[in-house]
Order: sequence, then C-alpha cells, then structure tokens
Amino acid sequence: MSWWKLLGVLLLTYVIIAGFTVPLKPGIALVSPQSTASNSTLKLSIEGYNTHFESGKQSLEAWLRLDSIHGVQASTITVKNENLIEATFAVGSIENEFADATLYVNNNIDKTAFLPSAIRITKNGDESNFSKQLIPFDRLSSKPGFLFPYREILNETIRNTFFHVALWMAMFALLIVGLYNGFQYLRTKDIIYDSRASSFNMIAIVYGLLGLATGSIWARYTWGTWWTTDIKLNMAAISMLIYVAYAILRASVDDIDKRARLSALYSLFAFAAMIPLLFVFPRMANVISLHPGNGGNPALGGEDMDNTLRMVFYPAVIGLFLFGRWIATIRTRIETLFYKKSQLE
Amino acid sequence: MKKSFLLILTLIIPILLMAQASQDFLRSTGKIYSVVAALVIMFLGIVFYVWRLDKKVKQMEDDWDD
Amino acid sequence: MNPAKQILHLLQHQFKLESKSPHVLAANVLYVVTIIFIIYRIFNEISPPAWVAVFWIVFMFTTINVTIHSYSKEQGKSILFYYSIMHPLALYISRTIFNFIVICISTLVVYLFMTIFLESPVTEHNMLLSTVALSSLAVSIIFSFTSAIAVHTQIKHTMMTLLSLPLIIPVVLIAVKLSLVSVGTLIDDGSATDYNILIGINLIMLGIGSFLFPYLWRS
Repeated sequence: MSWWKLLGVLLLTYVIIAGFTVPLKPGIALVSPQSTASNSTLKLSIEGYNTHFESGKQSLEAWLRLDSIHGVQASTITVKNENLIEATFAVGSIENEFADATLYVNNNIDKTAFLPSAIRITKNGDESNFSKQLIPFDRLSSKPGFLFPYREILNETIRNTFFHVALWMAMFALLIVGLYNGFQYLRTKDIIYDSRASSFNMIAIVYGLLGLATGSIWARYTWGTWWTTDIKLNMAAISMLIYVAYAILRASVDDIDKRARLSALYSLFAFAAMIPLLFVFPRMANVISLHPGNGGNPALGGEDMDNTLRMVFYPAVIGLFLFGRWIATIRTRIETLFYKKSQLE
Repeated sequence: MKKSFLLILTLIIPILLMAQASQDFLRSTGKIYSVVAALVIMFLGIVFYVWRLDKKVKQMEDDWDD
Repeated sequence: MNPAKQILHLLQHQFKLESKSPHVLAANVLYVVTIIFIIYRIFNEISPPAWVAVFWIVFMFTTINVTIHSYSKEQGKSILFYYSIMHPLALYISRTIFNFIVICISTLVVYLFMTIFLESPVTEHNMLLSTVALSSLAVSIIFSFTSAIAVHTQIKHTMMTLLSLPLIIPVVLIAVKLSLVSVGTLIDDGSATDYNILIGINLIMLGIGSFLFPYLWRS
C-alpha cells in the first residue's frame, strides 16, 4: 500500500474525530429584548452557549459597549443556570441617533463570550447623569485552548467547513490533475493519460455534486433555504453542468481513441470557459454573496477562518484529495485493463 | 452518468425528507445534526461511486469468463 | 496557399454551400417568427426587462439552430478533401467568421421581428449593437469548436446543444446585464468592466480554441 493512501485515510480519520469532538468556544446565543432606548434601565436576559455562568458566578461580569472604548457594566446579574443569566444595565446617553451595542460576558472559566450588535439602542432625547465607563479590554480575552470559534446562526455548523468547503477545494485539485492528464494525452497520445484524466474528472464530478448537496443542507439550517440566488452557488452549479456534459460526451463515443481525444479537448476548452464563472464573476465589486469573502477574494480569508479551524481544514482538503486520488487510481487501473482486453480481441 | 445522477438524487431525497420531518431534531444542540447529515451524504455519495466501480469490475470479470 | 487565402477560399466554399440550400435560411426565419409571434400573443405588451430576457433566449436558441444546420451540411466528401489540404487553424478561423456572419444576420432578424411585434424599448442602440456584436463573436468562437467536437459523436444535434449551452452562459449573463443598461432598467455603473470581461472571454476562447483545434484534426 502506498504511503499516500494511508496518509489520506489517517488525515480523514483525524478530521472526522477532531471535527466533531473539539468543542466550540463559549458564546452568546440569544438576548432579549433586542432593542431599547438610551437613558433607561435595561433588564436583559442572556442565553449562553457552552458557557459556565453558574460555576464562574464569583467572577461574572457583563458589559455593553456603546462606542469604540466606552460602555456600561451590568449593575446586577442574576444567574438562572449555567447557560442563562439576567443582567440589569443602566444605559447612559449616546452620541448618535442609535448605537448597535456589543455585549460582553466575562468570567474566569469561559473568559469572554460576546455578541456583536446584540442590542440596538435608540436615542431618547434628554441628557442625564448616567456615566459611561472605559471598558476593561485587558480583562476581556478569548478562552484559550484548542476550540473552534463560536458564530451566531452558524453555531455548530461551522464544522461543515471541514466537509463542504474542503470538498470544493479537493475537487479543484482533482480537476487540475485531470486537466493536466488530458493535456498530456493530446501531446503524447498515450491512452494511460486518458484513463487518468477521465478518472480524476469523474471523482471530481462526484465531489462537486456532493459539495452542492452538503452546501444545500448547510444553507437550509443557516440561511433558511435549500437553494439561494447566491452567485457562487449558481456559478458552481453551471460548472457542474459543464462537467456533466463532459461525462455524457464520453458515454456517447465508442471508439477509444476518438473518445479520449474529444473529451480531452472538451475538458480543456470548457475549463477556459469556466474561468469567468469561477474567478471573475464572484470577484466583481457589485456582486452580493452570502459566502465569505465578498467582492474581493472569494476564497476563505481573514476573519472567516481562525487558526484552530485551519488546523482541521487543511488536513481535510489534503485528506479528501488523497482519498479521491486513491479512488481515481483504482478506476484508472480498471480502465487500463479494459483497454488491454480490447487490444487482445 | 445520467443514471448515476438520478441514483444520487434518490439517495439524497430520503435524507432531505427525513430532515424536513424532524427539523427540530436537526436544529437541536447548535444544529450539530445538520453537520452529521452533511457527512452522511458525503459518505453515501462516495460509497455509491465505489459501488459503480465495483459493478464495472464485475462486468469485466464476466466478460473474461466468456 | 497562404493562410489568409485559405481562409478566404474556405469562406467562399461555405457561402456557396449555403446558397445552394436557401430553404435552410427560410426555415430559420420561420422558426424565429413563430417564437416571437407566440410571445407576442402571450404578452401583447412587454416590460423592458422581459423584452431583454426574451431577446436573449431567442438569440441563444436561434444561434444554436443556425450553427447546427450549417455544420450538418458538411458531411459530404468534398469537405474531407478540404480538411486534408488546409491548415486546421484556417478551418477554425473561417468557421468562426462564417458563424459570426450568420449569427449576426439571424440576430438582426430576431431584433427586426421583436421590434415589429413587441415595440423595442432600447434607448441606447450603440450599446445594444456592440453587445450583440461582441457576444455573437464569443458565441461563434465557442460554437465553432464545440460543433467540431459534436460532429464526431453519434448524437450530433443533442451533443451540440449539450456541449455549447453551459459554455455560453457567462457570455449571455454579461450580455443581459449590458442590454438591461441599454433599455434603461439598470443604471450604467461599470459597463466598461463588463465590456472588458466580454472582450477577455473572446480573447481567451479564441486563444484556447486556436491552440486546441489542430489536435482535433491530427488523426
């Protein structure tokens, strides 16, 4: 057994284990009410996720950030259970018409859990003497350790990064290997390259269809629909159409050499046609996409990935690629045997 | 390929129906079960492809015997 | 013969073939008129975005129809002779030019009938004209290549549609966007970028097509 087959399987095993067992960081799932007026007393019920409000009761504090550095601290906090507290804030006056206040809840077990734009505070005329304090940013810190980040709405589905996103990346790598082999076939007319090219393209098509299916499920539980008008989704679907056309083209030609030549030519030509679909349209400035990295780099970048996610994501891409390569190699060998047999007859 | 696409669909549809029927279950515990559903689909898809390869080999074996 | 002469010669040959069967042209015009008449009976009056949508859908199917017709005629022995003595690039370029001319003419026919039946909402004619010209060129570059592939399969017509339609989607998407600007539905922001992308697609496809076409005839 070649080392890379084992490596692929080991990586995928690691991805499934780590991808499902590493917990999320503590976060804030829900607050209510979600809007209030300035210069009032606010009684906020806060629902945490993976939090330890009860155990970390002694050091529990909550802050509402009103501008870049100022905020108010909760005057009283009632702990209901590990994941539910009620905090009372005396909200002061605000500068602008409204402020989207970020909520921080801090204790020594969870460190800081926060919810951006948790509450909208609208200006309520009169000035009053409620004073703002400086937020003690030096005390606020993210919980250390190997934990995945908590994002509202995404919740645990952030783990789909290792399956859905990695499938797409692995598909691309497999397609490029397929293209390279297709080109090699045109150059050398050696049928082994055609077997390789078609095998890599086929497993890439399978990955692509699975990428659409897994993405559809993810979309259902985060964006609320199976299918959206999102540009990246639709461009990916069109690329899949092109490759399904490739598969049908292969199926409709019987002569081995002709099939090899036509399909290699079509895959290279079609890839050129896919360049605007995959690399130009999603990057256009006025395109709105729900996927990360809008109007710039459509790949994952910056805030959407953090280091703990990367430590599982990259192995997932490599593992899926190697696993796909394994399956493609098996198919190549079958195709080669078919070819040899047809030569014998 | 057309046939295989249809078969993939028939594999996925029951899962989607199941998902529809028990939405609250899939939404529980921070929607973790939707990730499980994605992983199951991925696994079944790959298994399906391997099954097709298996059929291909079997066809060749049968041809060989003739 | 030098390449330019070869291209001219091939073009002459193709037009001669075309002129031998005028009924094909008539059939295509009838096809267009029928579709547009049905749309006219359905809508009577049509909003500018719908006009644009109908125009491009009719464009897509008419061009495919026209290209298939002109290709299926080339199955005779004479063309095999040409393929054996001409440079493959000359064949590809002449095919592209021929398709471009035919597609332009058929698009003009589409536009004419759409103006007669469903009043044209186009305010910026130059823009629509340049969009049509650029996308016709891109479409003919793509079709010349895919039809050359499809001709070798058992189900030529189906294969031609199947192979070409997904490839021209990006072209049509941009063309629709530019046409929406030309009828005043969309505000003109960044149409220069769209033109550049369209020109870019033309160049890329022409480049890769000319590079790959010789491999198609090598055997």
